[in-house]
Amino acid sequence: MSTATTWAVALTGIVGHLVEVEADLSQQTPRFELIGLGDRALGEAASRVHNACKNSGLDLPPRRLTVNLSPASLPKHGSGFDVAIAAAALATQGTLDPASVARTVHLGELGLDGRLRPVPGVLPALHAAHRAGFARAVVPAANAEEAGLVAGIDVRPMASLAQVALLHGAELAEPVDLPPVRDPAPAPLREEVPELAEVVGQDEAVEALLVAAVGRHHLLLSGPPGAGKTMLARRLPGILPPLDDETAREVACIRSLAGERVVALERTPPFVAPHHSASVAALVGGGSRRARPGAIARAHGGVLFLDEAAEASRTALDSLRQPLENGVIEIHRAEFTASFPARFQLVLATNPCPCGSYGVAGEECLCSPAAIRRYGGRISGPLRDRLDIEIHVSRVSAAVATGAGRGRVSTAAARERVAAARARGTERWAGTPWSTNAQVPGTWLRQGSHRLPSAVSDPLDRALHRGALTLRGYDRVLRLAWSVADLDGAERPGAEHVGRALFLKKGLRA
Amino acid sequence: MASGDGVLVFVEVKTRRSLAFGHPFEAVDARKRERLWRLAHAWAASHPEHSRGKARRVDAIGIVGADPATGELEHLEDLR
Repeated sequence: MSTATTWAVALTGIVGHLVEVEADLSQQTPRFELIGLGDRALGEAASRVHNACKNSGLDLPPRRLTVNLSPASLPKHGSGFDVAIAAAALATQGTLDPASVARTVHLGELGLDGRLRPVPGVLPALHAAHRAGFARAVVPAANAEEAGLVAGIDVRPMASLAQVALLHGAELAEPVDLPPVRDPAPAPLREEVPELAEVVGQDEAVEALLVAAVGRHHLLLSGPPGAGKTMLARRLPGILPPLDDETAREVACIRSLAGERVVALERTPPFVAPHHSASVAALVGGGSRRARPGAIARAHGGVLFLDEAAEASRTALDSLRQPLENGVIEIHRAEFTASFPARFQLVLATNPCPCGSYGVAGEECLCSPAAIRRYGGRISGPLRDRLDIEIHVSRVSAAVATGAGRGRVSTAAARERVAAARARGTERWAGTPWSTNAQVPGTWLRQGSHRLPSAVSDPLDRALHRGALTLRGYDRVLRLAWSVADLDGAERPGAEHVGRALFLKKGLRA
Repeated sequence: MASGDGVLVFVEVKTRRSLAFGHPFEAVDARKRERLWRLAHAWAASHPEHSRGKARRVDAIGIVGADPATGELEHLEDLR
């Protein structure tokens, strides 16, 4: 036997590609050659594999070893191929059972002492392996918890290369007993979702938050500093329905790729709040060779909150437009194209003007009208057009704030209402490609069986005639009206629902 | 150097007392192989009566053991 193969996984975005690792032993002077479009970290695998084998009591034959990673045209990066390379190399001479090695997917980096070190992206890699029909995978012991989240594949967490060799039927002179490498990343903190009832005196805004949660509508909160915009936004993930299996898995995959430690499938929707000075690369994600998920991808399934949105750079804000439209964020580089799922709910918060006092009772705004207009214009028209709800949050009066009363709606109650409303929507859109009101195209709502009677849509039609609404805005209000009706438990939107929707979108009274 | 079957074989013999400083074949690196081939061609050029019509080959023999007479012998054929 002079050739042997095994399998590893290369990741582009959260999509895993199975990579066949072939090793060939030829009767030539000793050399270790690694081919197949690897990056520098992969090129150094030769030294790690060499030393790890020696220190595990498994000597590589003193001949020329050629290791090829196939498909050879797919760029591969990182140190996660070490174990597969070592396994294939050792199987060429029959030290390891070649048949057993060929059936197994190997993931992990090797230490010089032969221990398996954790690698990022174990979850998406195992998922790809499972889908490709592999029944067994070897992962580093430190990734055991994350690997356990993939069902249907026999995962073998291993502490050292010697253990891997024993699995494949090697006979070791002396069993090497090494303590497993710990994952250096800290365990994820379980962030408590703040309680909605802590918000006092903002009943209108809380109600808008609920409507946004029902239809997954994007939201713009504007108001003076201290009005509680951030406070409201932080409470949105708590009232959203828990993530379904598929989304929870995608969220965990993205976290794993970002280098975070994943120990469980998190069901609470993520909340990502990048600073307003965030660059385009920080939002979109980047990297010259490997794609790292940015804030947009990390908010997948949850909420992307941009505080002080008017202070953010315009290019950064406009980078949101494509994922808002497609639910996917694509990273294009010379060497690769990666895409991450990005179906997030956008919440923007902004002050009404640079000084923050415009329109606030009892305060004097020092900004010139031109400055106020410029400030509002920082959020570009196309982006604003994608925001279904624009509400003004005003400061709470002293009497309400210091009163004994708490907010009327608790997180638990709100979540229940939202879940019930969401269920109504899901049932209605069953059999269509959409699941939430915000996704349904306007023609569907304006024509056909979901068309509202003209008596109900009358205020909308008048706003359209007046020019207060564009046709796109008209569609948005219709979608909102369905969400408001769902939240109310109504079969179809009535005039009062349309009126409320119009108010949420435009601040217009019907 | 050996000859037979229409092939002229140039053999590099390397001996190591133990594997403490690596396998003998590890000493036959790219530089050494190149030198062996240059040597083979040069020798063949200066001894046409022995080399005409014969293919050339470079081999390596590694011996590991304290005594070359009893050491473990490995033979690599056709280095390139």
